[in-house]
Amino acid sequence: MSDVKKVLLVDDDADLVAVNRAVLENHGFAIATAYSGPKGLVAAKAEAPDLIVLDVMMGTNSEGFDLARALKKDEATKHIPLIMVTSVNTTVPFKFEPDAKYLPVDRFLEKPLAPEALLKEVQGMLS
Amino acid sequence: MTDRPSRILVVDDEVGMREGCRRILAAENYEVETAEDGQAALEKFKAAGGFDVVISDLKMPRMGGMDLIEALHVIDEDALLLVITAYATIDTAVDATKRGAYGYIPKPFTPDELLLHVRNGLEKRALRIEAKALREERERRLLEVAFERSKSTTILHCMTDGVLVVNREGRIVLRNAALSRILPSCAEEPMAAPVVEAVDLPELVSLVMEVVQADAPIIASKELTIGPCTYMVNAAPVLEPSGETLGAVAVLRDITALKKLEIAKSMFVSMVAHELKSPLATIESSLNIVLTGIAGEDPERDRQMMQRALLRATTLRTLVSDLLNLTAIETGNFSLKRQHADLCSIVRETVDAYTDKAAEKNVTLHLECQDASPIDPILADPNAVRSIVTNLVDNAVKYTPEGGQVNVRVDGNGLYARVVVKDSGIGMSAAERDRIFDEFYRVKNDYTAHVPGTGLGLTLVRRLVDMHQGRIDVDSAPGKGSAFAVSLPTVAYATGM
Ligand SMILES: Nc1ncnc2c1ncn2[C@@H]1O[C@H](COP(=O)(O)OP(=O)(O)OP(=O)(O)O)[C@@H](O)[C@H]1O
Ligand SMILES: [Mg+2]
Repeated sequence: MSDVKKVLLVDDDADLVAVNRAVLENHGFAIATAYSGPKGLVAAKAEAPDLIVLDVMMGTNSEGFDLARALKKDEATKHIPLIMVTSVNTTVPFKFEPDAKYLPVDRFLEKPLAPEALLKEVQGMLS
Repeated sequence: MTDRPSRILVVDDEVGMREGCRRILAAENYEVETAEDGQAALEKFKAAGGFDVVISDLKMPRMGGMDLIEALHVIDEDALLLVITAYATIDTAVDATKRGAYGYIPKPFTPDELLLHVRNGLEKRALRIEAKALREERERRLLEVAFERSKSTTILHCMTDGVLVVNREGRIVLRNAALSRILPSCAEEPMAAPVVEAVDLPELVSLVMEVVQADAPIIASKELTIGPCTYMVNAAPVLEPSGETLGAVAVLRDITALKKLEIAKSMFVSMVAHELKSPLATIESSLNIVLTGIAGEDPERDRQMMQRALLRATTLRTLVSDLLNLTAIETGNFSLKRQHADLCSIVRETVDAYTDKAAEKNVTLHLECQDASPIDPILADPNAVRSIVTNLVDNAVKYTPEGGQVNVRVDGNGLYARVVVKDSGIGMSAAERDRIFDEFYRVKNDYTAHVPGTGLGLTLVRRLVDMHQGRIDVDSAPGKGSAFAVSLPTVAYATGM
């Protein structure tokens, strides 16, 4: 085991963050949290995480997308892999796919995401 | 024709002639009157209201037969006159027929000759009457048809649906006022213009032409967007009784409002689904990690997680009952049971119920209710008022951080009784304040992320306040706390006393 990897969880649902935090911590990850898009950007710079997991539907429908774009534009954070979790796919008739320009994320996962599935994704991306 | 015997007037200055004719005719069951000259005949004619046939001599004192014809026709243009004349005056008799007598009978004549002429006359008269009735009938029909047409034209133009009729060649033969409003450019085209040229809406044109050109009668329907409006267009063939297509009629119904309603409804449904799904996903995940042990063993943490899951489940249940209440209000299935109610005691009950919750959070909850000067009773549904106050106090406690204060005050001015819930909590911006009464709206920030809620509480409050003809005022600033004031009409004011 090398050094501990840090994951930043960005979601406006504090309870869900707590659940995911418990799972990931139990598997040896360090966790940082943020409950809004703007706070997510601040945390990404301050905490320098190895991976960011973010929810699309926060305060405004585009808050998650805005954060993803901001993270990929910023020199300090653009290299950090990004996992996006959302239930958007079920409420709009079209499918989101990662896209370098409009949706610059590395993985796109659908909510509800079982804790085990999230753990597998995180482990896969940080191995 | 009728049961009534035909009535005949015999006019002659020779009494023998008069009486002879009377006998012959009476024997045939005619009703006979006599007169000795034209003048007397005219008077009898007027007095009796007409005769079916008048038999008259030409040469008589005072008024002769010629003048009698004319005078009679002034009274009754259909009056029938038979002239009796001697051979010598046959020219005059011909002259008389020219003037309007229907025939002449030369003297001397046999009873059969007289009867023959009379019967001819009566037949003529019957025919004339029948013809007249027919003529009148036809005129009435024509009038009716004209009236029917103007009636259906009026109906057509009063319709809010647009109506367009084209003939077999696809030329416009009718369009109503509504259609001209919907398609102003079409209204400027002359009648009989080809619909292809007159209507600059290819979809409408092809729909109409499809119906006109179809081998078998079809009814075509389509939704069309014209400007900001949506129309449901139904096109059907206009058929002859033989079944041949004469053309097509298209009816354009404005369904814009329906469409909007549909969109609003599906937006609402997807919003509700989303509101249900997020907390359910969280509850599901919480149960999942405790059951699978994927987050390791930590009984105290698991207990806390279950506590949160329970809270979320409770919130969900509140959401569902709020939704049901809102739907009931919206569909009119919710009726207030308004009665004399004391706002102070309702507020006191509610505040008491929240003491523990506030203390748990280290928030001071204070009630100000002057018992010295009692507030006038309000005309309100106590359950609704309880729901209003509960939501306001719940919010004040929820959105006030530890160590803060919530102050509840009741006052009144005779017209209204007012409850003011003031907190030293997180407050909100003006933009946020404008939206807090919207369904599902919740302010999103670091603080509210930890506060469970559905965003329906204030929506319900506003509806209930409106139903009481009350008012709600909000005063708030970020970090400075909020004050919610609800005013409800007193019994005195509501009943106009
Ligand atoms: N006293 C208050 N102070 C600060 N913000 C408030 C206050 N009351 C309401 N709000 C804001 O208005 C939003 C809407 O309030 P509302 O009562 O409708 O929903 P909720 O409290 O989130 O959920 P619910 O009451 O349905 O459980 C809240 O989410 C909160 O952001
Ligand atoms: Mg509330």
